[in-house]
Amino acid sequence: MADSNPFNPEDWMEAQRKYWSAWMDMSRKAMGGSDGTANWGDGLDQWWKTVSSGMPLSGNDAMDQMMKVGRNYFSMAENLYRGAEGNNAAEAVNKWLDQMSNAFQGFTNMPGASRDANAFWQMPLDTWRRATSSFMPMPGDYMQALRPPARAPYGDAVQEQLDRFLSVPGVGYTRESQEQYQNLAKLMVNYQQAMQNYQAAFNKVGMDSIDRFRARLDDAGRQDKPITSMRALYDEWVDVCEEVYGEFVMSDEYARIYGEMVNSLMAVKRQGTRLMDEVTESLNMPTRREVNTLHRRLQESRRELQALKAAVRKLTDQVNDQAAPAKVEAPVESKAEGKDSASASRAATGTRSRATATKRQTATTTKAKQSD
Amino acid sequence: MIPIQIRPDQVMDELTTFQNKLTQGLQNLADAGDIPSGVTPKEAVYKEDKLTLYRFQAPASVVQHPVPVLIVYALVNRPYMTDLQDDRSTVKGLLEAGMDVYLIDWGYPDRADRFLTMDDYLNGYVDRCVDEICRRHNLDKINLLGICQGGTFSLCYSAMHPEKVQNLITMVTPVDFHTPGNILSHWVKHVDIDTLVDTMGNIPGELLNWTFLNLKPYQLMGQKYLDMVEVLQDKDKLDNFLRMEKWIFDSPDQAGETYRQFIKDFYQQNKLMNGDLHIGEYEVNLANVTMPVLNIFAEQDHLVPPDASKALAGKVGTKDYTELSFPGGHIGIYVSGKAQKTVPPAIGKWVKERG
Repeated sequence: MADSNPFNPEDWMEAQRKYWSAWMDMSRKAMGGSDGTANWGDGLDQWWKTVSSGMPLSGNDAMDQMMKVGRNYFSMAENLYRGAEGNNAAEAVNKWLDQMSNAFQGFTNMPGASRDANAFWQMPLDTWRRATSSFMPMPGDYMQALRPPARAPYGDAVQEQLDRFLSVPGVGYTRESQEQYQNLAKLMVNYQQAMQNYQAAFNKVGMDSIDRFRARLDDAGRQDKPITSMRALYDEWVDVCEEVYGEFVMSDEYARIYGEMVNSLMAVKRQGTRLMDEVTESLNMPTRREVNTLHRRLQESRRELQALKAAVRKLTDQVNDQAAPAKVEAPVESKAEGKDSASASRAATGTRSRATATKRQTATTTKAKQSD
Repeated sequence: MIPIQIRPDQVMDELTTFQNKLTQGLQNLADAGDIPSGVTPKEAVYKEDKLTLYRFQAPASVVQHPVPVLIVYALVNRPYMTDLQDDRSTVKGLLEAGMDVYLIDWGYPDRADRFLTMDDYLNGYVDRCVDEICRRHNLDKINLLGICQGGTFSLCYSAMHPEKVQNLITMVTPVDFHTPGNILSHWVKHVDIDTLVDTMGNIPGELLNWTFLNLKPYQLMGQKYLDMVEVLQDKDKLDNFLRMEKWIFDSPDQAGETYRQFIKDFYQQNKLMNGDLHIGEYEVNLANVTMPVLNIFAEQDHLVPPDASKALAGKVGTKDYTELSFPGGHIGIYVSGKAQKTVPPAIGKWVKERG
């Protein structure tokens, strides 16, 4: 049956090499007539889709991230290649930086390749969405539709209507419930605003990076140290981005917008938990609040148990110590004394700390009971 | 001079090379399988809840120092970083330097552990591990080696229980959380920690990952993966890369109450430096750290700036205080080739000199 396995690694590798070779040839030939709608990053994506379906690599996080970064790299190369047809790579880079600059300012829609490079700058926010989506019931980009570009055709009217709708007073039997859901919606809007502020700050920092990069290139020209490879150019870009980012994240502004983003997200989640508790309670199921109380009491009981076990151990040691001298024989006296000394010391220490622990435990338990 | 001198055909050649490396290396990646870590043989000698206390097996040819050393690792990330692979193992280096090595593995806290406090961790778990080792070796006190947050824990423990610590070694340990350039303390300035913990219960590892990756996002989420293409064809290098990658993203959730106190008292209010730090019933005063102290820090540490560690010098009560500066970063201090040759032997020598 071994012969029935259709997957032959060597054939597969050869196929991939041919695929890529053909793609690169095609790119070379087609480059002059490209309309800018398809880009090299898409080519890499397409290749990866083909590859990952034939190998057990799909879902490999490191590989996925490598392909994502590779896409940025290819897009950067494409910009350079297209612009460098006039044999002036510096001009090509300037053109690429202009496109990104316009995009950061929201003036234009970016061509695909520049959009990829811009995505590079959005990595912190992108990973934030992914990280938070793992502990939120909604996907990380669930509020994309509320972002300014999506609402742009309607101006501020959408926001105004939303605010008015969320401020309609509740009446009747379900008044409290309605207010709770309105509150949740308001908190979600607040969180969206905090994320927008975070993104806006990053756009500004993106602009600063572009300016810093241009200055860095000017320096390279003045110092007669030109950049001579794609990879060196990419590394220089990363270096500049880290430098500008590093300065920004140490600013008071960053600490404030980051704090607002985290705090507003927590406000959403807390309100969501509160609503969920009401639902589960109505279904006669345990609520988060009740489970927390159980966990807290359990932990308190465990502390008490540990303190009691320590006290029993100490008493046992004391009893054993009192019985021990009769059994000690003269030739091993000094060794036995050492052991006894160690035990006694431990017991004494134990007495001190366990007594304190017991006292502490009693105080904690009393406090917790009051708060319950 | 034109600052960029790259011809179009050069661009295509670089991409072709890149793609060839990618294609040729994919098979290695597909074959990589599970990458083992935590390589030195060890025995579980004590268990409590999710905690396991391990004792590492020493080489038969090396005479062990009679006073064991207990490694207290951070709660964030996993302690197998200290024993990552055969040629990158602080544990192995310590064993070869004649140390009898124990290590606390905290495990992965879940929501039932949300109410574990720093008091539970230090005056509970750590204290019972120390007692267990003392019992096994018939000793009153042992050596402590704290790493990163585990170093801060070890300092606090030593201040609360100086009678149980013979020598204290701290590695890349934050002491002053408000030195200039401390990104993490700057970031949490305006975060409402009470609301965060009250809402989340435990703090998800994903959130911590985000924080650490965003210290240098363009290198750690971008450039690093282009570098990965360069190692795809070398199986050993690829395994090293994947092993490190696994460790970076292997982040346990943090018990909520411990996180609350650690961030508020240490990062926000810097109480270890300023005084007024209380853990359970104890007041934590660094002046009570009267045993010999070896403080090891990394010169290029982006997570714990050297000044944050060196602040310990003026705070501890001991007259036997030594600093060891390592020319590397926060992670390199455990895993770089240079670290293997210098750090564990230096620790062994320092401990032996003090009996």
